[in-house]
Amino acid sequence: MLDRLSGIVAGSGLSTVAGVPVAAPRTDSEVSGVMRVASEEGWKVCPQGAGLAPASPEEQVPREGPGLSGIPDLIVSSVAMQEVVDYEPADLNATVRAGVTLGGIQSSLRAEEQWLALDPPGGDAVTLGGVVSTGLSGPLQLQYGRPRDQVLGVTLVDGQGRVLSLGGRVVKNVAGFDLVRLVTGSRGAFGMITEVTFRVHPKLEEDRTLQWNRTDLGAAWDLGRALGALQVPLSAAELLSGEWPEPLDGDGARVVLRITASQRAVQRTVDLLSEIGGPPARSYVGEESEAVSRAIAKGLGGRRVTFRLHALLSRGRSLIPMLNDTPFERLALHLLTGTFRGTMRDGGDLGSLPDLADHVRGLGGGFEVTGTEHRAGSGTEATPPSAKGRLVGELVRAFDPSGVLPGTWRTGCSMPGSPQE
Amino acid sequence: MLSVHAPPQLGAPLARRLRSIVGDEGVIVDPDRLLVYESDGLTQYRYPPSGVVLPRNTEEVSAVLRILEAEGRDFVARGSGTGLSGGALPVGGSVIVGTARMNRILELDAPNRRARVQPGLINAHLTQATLPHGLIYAPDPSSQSACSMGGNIAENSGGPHCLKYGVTTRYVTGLTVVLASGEIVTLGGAERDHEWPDLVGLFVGSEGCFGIATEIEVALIPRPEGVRTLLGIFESIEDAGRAVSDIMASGLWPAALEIVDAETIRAVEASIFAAGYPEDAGAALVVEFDGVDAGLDEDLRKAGACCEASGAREVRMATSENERAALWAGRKKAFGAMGRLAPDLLVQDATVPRSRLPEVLREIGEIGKRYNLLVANVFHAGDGNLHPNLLFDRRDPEEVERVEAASNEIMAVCIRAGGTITGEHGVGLDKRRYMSLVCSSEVIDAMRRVKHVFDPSGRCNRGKVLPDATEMNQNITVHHSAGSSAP
Repeated sequence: MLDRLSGIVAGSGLSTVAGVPVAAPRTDSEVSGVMRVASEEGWKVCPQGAGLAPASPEEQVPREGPGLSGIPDLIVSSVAMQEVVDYEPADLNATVRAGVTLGGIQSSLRAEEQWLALDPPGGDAVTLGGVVSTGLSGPLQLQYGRPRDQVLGVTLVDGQGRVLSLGGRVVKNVAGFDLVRLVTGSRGAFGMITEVTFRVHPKLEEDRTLQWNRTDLGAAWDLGRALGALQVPLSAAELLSGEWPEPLDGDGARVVLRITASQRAVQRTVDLLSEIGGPPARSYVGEESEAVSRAIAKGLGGRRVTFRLHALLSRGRSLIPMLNDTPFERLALHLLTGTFRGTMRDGGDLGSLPDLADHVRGLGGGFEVTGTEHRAGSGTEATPPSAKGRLVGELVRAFDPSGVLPGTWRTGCSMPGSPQE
Repeated sequence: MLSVHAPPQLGAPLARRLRSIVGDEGVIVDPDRLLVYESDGLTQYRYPPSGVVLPRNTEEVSAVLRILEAEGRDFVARGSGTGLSGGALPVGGSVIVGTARMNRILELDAPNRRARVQPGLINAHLTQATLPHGLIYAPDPSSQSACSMGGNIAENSGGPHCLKYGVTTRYVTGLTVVLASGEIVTLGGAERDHEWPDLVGLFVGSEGCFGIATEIEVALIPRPEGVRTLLGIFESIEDAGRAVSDIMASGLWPAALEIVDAETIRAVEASIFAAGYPEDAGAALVVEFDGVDAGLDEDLRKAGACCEASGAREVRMATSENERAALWAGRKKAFGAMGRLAPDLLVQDATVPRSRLPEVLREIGEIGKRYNLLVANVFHAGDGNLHPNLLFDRRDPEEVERVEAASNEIMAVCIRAGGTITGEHGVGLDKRRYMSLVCSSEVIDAMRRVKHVFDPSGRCNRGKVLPDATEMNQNITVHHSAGSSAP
């Protein structure tokens, strides 16, 4: 395999990890060549960004990488794609190769008092190709939206090696079908992302994060909902429980709200919130406020078993007793969207997850667990294929007819609460 | 450019079957009544439908589409018919499936900040219903008092305030759609959060080519506590453009940044919509902030300073709702005012990088002069979303040809500046010929394969968005004029 690839990817871009070949192409043309050969040879390919920080050689091979189940024949890494292709501060956009990290681009933008308003799980170490591929967002989605709302363009090399430059570099663009959104969050099922153009934002005058502490989840939920009902513009609104990295302190349940606006608007918002919640236990300003967001992102990253559930906010209170019985390491709830994320302790008991999953699905919500072969919940596995599942399968085949990218959709949908194929 | 095509017939047996589903009032075959449907907001084209069907709910849409599939008939979904790219034109005598009778709010769930509506609901009616709960539906296309939510989904509509709040797709959380086969599919939904792959995001902006959205679930946001507006009057459009760049670079986050040019100001001021803009001004810039009331005056003051530093000869700040409405009047009534300058108006739509606005506007002006056409610009400056309006008389074939040639050149200029062929009006029928300028043949093939997944028989809004072989190969270039920049 490596001999075949050596004519496509420079020698320094080829290696093996735990016996699995890893190709690290630099250019779209090289990625295209790899995909074409994989298609001819019938190899199964896993695109990878920052990947899974290795604790042991075996763990460098993703058991459940982006859209992957099982061991791939070949990992294609974006590690050699490190350039900031274009950054035009006046146009508020930046184009980067897929291997640039979130922390790396933030450093470039900081000099112009701008930033990429994304804080996905994993924090600064995640690659921007990975951010788009997973589509995952963090607390800032409340004000700035998710990756799908901030990606203007993507270059995708599909399973046939076709190089597709999708979208563009302008904030409003409806020229043709929105394949950028199809690709964003597709977890590698349609191809490998090699380049991304993001919308960036100017830093606003003040950035402040407030923290209120409560003794239990239920009390924190009630406070968070009361503060959220004020309808003031918040950048992030989280309920946190468990142990979190610095600078977040305390170990009970905490309501954490972030406000980015002009100084006067921030102060007025703080006053309004304090009327309801009392004086906050902590107030983080400027870089410290950013550090809180990074701590939340870091706390939800890594390779621990992670569950993610979503339910209508009005039904969220009913989940609190079950969550109290779930031995999570840490829990984060987006207070105004109804999305909960939790990480489980290494080697901890996962036995309560199926009941939690069934309960959430019973409420009409969605549930998924990653980082384990353990399948949470039983409510949908015997359900026959749905029309939506069929559409997804056909869309995947439209980009990858040879099955080079054995995404989870090929063997079964991982969509929350959806039927398995 | 002006095309009128002979209407085909729906046929009495098919009309009877459709009436059995939607009732007598739900099927239109009378040629006089069909005239209403032969055009949309892009009046240069006329395609009479073979008939119009007006279902009342998802099940009726499904039943209608199953009948049309059995008969092998093409169909086009139509909302209010305000689209500006010919997206709702029934090319080839397609049957129109109108959503006018599907205009209800099905659920207004204020605690969860969401609503579920039918596609025929008028955009502005949703916010009117949510305001008592302190909530708004953010996307506000200029036609929001007339355009439908289904049409907004099809076009991924924008609007002046999407500079801050984003376009339609950000707010659509779930859809019930009926495919061409009649199959009903539910995509997304607030209870599920976001699913992957993002089929809701793919469907929004698909211009009616994938199926018909029959129920739409959207996110609502809190109504901003306060709003502040200013109007900057400039000697030149370049100065106004510089003020836009300065405001955006200063760390402010305006809700709207809109420019009207000298031609537009003169048209407005000479009309019954006169807004009190100085008739000798080169451009006017409307700047609006919203949010927590406490910080807005300071934001407005800073924006005013940016305008003055960029050469504004006058800055007016609204202190009441009436004054605010007056400052907006010149922008909002611009299209209506242009009706007195010429019988026909082609509203172009393109987006360019904000930093390239001054040079692109200069080139558009030169194109207008070269083709002896009046071109008036009204646009969303903060987004770089241009709307050059070409005024003409469609009864003059020679002038119509000049309009088409000028349009081609305007598109080429925008693309050369790193922009795109449409920011919010869609491709429809009108801009298919430009698609190959912004999408490679591989990307267009990918779009074709994606459409085939949803609509394998190709009967759903046939002839829209995707260019044919001739259009793929045509060569549209711009005639460089003195002062124009190289690519």
